[in-house]
Amino acid sequence: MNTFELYFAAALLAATPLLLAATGEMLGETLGLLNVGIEGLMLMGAVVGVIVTLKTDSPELGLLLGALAGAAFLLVTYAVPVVLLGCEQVLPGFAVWFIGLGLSQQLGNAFENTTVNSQSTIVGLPGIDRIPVVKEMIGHFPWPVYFAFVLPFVVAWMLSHTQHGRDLRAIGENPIAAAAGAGIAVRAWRVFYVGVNGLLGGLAGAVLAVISVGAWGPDVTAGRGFIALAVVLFSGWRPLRLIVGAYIFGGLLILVELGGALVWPVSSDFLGMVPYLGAVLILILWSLRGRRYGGSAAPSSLGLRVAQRR
Amino acid sequence: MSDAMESGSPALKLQLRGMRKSFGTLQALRGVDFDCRTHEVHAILGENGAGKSTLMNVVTGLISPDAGAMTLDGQSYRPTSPKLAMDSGIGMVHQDYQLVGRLTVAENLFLGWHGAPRVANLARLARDAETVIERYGFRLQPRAVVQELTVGEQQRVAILRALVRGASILILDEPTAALTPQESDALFQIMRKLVDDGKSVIFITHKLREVMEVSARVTVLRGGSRVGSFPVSACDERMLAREMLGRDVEPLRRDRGTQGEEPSVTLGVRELSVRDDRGLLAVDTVTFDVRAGEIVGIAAVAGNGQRELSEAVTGVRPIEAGRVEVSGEDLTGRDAADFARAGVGYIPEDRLGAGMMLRQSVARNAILKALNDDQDRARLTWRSWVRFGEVDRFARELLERGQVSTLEPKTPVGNLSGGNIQRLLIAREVHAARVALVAVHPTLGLDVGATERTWQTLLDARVAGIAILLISEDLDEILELSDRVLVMHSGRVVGEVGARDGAASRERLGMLMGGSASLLADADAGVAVRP
Amino acid sequence: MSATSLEAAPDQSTPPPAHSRGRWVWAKVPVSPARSWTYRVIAIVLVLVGAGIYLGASVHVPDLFGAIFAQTFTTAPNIEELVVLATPFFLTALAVLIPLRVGLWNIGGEGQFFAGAWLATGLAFWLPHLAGPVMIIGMLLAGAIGGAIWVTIPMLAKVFLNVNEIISTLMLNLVIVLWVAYWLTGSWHYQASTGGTLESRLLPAQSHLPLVHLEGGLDSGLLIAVGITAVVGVTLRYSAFGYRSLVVGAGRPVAKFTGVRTRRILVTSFLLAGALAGVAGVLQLAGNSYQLTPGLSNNTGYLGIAVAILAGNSILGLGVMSCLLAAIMLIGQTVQIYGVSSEAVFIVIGLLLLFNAIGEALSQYQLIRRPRDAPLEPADINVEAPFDLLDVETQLEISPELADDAAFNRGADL
Repeated sequence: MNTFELYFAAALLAATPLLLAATGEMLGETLGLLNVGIEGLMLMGAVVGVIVTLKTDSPELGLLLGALAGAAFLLVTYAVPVVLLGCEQVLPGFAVWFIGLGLSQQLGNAFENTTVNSQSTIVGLPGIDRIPVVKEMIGHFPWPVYFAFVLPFVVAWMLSHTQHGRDLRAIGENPIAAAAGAGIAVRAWRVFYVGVNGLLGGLAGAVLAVISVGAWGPDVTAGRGFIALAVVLFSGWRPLRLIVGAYIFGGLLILVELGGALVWPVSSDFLGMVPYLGAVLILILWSLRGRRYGGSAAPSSLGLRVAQRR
Repeated sequence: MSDAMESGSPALKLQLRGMRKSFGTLQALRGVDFDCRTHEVHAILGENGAGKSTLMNVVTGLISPDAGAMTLDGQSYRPTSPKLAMDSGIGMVHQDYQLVGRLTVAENLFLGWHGAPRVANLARLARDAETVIERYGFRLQPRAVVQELTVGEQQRVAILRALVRGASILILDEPTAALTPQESDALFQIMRKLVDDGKSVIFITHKLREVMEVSARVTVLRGGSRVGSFPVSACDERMLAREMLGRDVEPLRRDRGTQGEEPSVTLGVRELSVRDDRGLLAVDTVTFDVRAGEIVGIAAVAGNGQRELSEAVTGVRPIEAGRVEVSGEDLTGRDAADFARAGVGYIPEDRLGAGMMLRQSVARNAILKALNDDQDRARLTWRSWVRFGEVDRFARELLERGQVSTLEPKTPVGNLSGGNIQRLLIAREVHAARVALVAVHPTLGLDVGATERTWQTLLDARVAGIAILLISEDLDEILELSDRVLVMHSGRVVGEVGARDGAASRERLGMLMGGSASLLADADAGVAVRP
Repeated sequence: MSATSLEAAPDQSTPPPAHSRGRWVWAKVPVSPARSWTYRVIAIVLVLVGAGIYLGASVHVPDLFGAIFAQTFTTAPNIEELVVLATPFFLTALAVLIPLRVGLWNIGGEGQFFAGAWLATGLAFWLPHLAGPVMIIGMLLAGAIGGAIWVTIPMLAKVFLNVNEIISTLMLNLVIVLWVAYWLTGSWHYQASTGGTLESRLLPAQSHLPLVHLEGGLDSGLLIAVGITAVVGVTLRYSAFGYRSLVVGAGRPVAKFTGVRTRRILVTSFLLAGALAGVAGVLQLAGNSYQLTPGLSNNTGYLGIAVAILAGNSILGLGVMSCLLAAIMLIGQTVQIYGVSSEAVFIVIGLLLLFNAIGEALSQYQLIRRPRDAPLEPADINVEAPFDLLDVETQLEISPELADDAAFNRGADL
């Protein structure tokens, strides 16, 4: 494969954890739940994913348990205070971040830098073998890449075409009306989707560590959790735009490797800055564009404290 | 009056016995009994705070009672959630409708309802909605976004939502609060039709006239207790008022001011145009004057630009075009601080959100406006430093003047009762209003006692020569206080009405507020308002 | 009154059971600062006790706590180290606290710390022959300016475009790390450094902060930090600027109602915060390490967030929490010999934040016993009792509609 194809494949792989985490967060935000601690969530998924893969020699199991660990972690550290006890949302988000940071390092201390083999997760896309050029580029990827790509479409369909999806949007727009006016089980669904958010975020971290990087290290996420937040904002809460945003950042994140491979004269430090500066730039540009078209598309109750006492 | 007892025979539908509910130390319901029959419109009358909404919230499963029993159709009825109440056939239209503004009419109609199609795109849902809308003879666009509808239309969506779920009891909480008289009449028509079909309508209100007009029976609540239930045919307004308040109502003191023949123009508005939050023109070349010692009322249905107008003449909202003058000084384009300095007080609609810092102390809230006034500032600050000793004294003065029952300036404002917060705010703004006062629905949510005190305060300010601009949806308030009344519709002043002509004024005001004479066409006009 | 009703049904309410005098209910109570503070202190104590129990259970060393205490707190160098650790927290916590009062989250303290340290280092290398006092003052100024510059882009993006400041400030943290690394591997590389350690050349001697000869030789960095904190504290409490920031922090409707120049306050708060974090970086640079290194901050910026949140809105709380966190970090260092990883302290900090938030939320409710027939309070019952099902409360956020309000953007000026 030539450089372009390698780059393309690497970008896709780098984008996948972002896309997974962003999809989960977007679902949560559709219900009005803002989690700023995605970074910690991904770290937990990553460390559990690597440890399980090393112990059981099965990356599939690692991914699964990483996802479940993420769900459990987010439910305990975020759903309990925010949904059940009526806390505000930013502080528990920071708690998710810090606790995830510390706990993952405590657990992963002994496993640092041990490499992991994830070949078995690669699947072939059925029917793709007939198309010559494309088959090289997108034909053989680990299944999470395909899953991450398809998921936003499913979510988009659910939100616009099903009763359940409309109920969810109502919860995010006006939780009181949803509960009192329409009889929707607001609290139950919010807890459920925190679990879904955690599942996807944990899976994202696990994919990052087990497949993309291939090992655990304390810096394995390097701010990707916050980039995922930026991707969600950039998407304007439209699932399909998540894909675009995630792939752009996937490409930016591997510029360092690309620069090294092509021996660019630019220092790798500067290349490394690009994704982060890009996140800020994209948010600024998006805001400029949004001002012209008026209004923010955020669910109206995003970030507001909803305390339900019965 | 309703002759709903003709078709079918009325049967006992809903029965409440001994309902009790306390919120902390506040006893909202003290052993209330209530009966409701089929084929009847049953009004629940009481002033603000009497427990009417609380009682109905218990029926609809939003609040769990501390004690008491309910039966529905003879069976024991204990709703533990709104969903269960809805499934039992009880539909409620809250005061603020509880609709999801950003979703369409069709989506709101079927929201959270298990009978709705599980998988359906918006087009299919709109078709289903169309069927339902026509079945009940309403006029609504299924694909319209709810927050862009007029208030009357939104109410109809909320009513229809309850009917779609098969409600046999429809509860309406203060439904006419934001409607013109014509829209209220349309609502009463709907109520009569529902009752003819055998449903029950429970109608919460504090307006005596409406009780007399549309209901068959009335239950009066006072202070959380039931005072009695009466057939409306045996009542008159005076007797109901006495039951509701427990005393006779005294007329307000309305003195002549001492302004002389031609008082000066204090607040001058010339060709004023103002944009709203969405960038649309909310106030469109409005011109009027308010003179010293005069109360000018502006009557308008919600959403016709009066809020933006009030913000523009106090400096809270920027002005698109035109001029605002205070005491002859052109203050166009200045901010709220400059208006405060010019002596304009402002009682905003959003008293808790905009007028007060709830987490801060009374003292810090008391000086919110004072730091702009030259005299007060000289007293309260030294260079750039705030002198908190003086602030404390100033706050105590305000508290006393406003007869606020808490005298400790360190208390966070959020801990005061609603009535006390209101008194503090009015005291502060009346102090700040050296020449003019803009008041937007100042008695919203207050009980009759507090309402009368507020009205008296405004009338006293009028005597003292303050120019007062009173903006309100409550026609009673407008007619009681104003010397003359302007009507706003679609951002324009569409007419002026004398306030002292009794029923004729009310009728004419209603038509002007609705924008046109016919009662359903006004809803369409409301939709066509914004370009 | 019932005598006049024509259809009054006899009162059939069930009499209360004779044996109960009252019942337990969750009541929403007015929150006083003292009450909120009590709950939060209890939350902190719970977490610390829990951590202690966990430590005791997992590390099997006799008299564990005695050993920890002895190693951490009794030796003079360790007391000094406690103070050294606490000092930067004063400033980085202020860097979070000042914007927080007006509803802004400055997560970029870490980055502003380095930006200030970098600019000061640059000054020291560029003008190495400045006299001592001039050099120090110059470096402090450079630190303030560097930090302020580093917060400028997120500030402008937030104030004028409502770009989420949590993300933008954090992104810049990650950027400055790479920027500093670039310089440390480039022209500032320390020739004599061993192994793979990344560090800069040594700073000239006159840039070192002088020692103040009290017991044990505290460096003047502490005095500077305490002095700045005190000045800032007094300003926030008693100045017109401090009052106006409270108004801005109460929400945009109140700010517009009062006519306060919101943008001016937001910008000032941000710049002040960035400057303070930058100064913290210089104090660390010139007072302790005398070299620019990637580990200079030791996560001070991030931990400053926790200190600010735990401190509530008081400067005294800031001081207390800084010392507490420094103590926790010291203990964290001490127990590393027992196998606890260096970053595990973040678990404790995260739990502190979590329990603090929970305590805050719970402090609004109280389980009280209510007699069945308590009389009505003299206070008005003007406002109808709310649902007890849902209760939506806005946070101290200005942002949600900042970009939506075209009028606001056009009207307000600096």
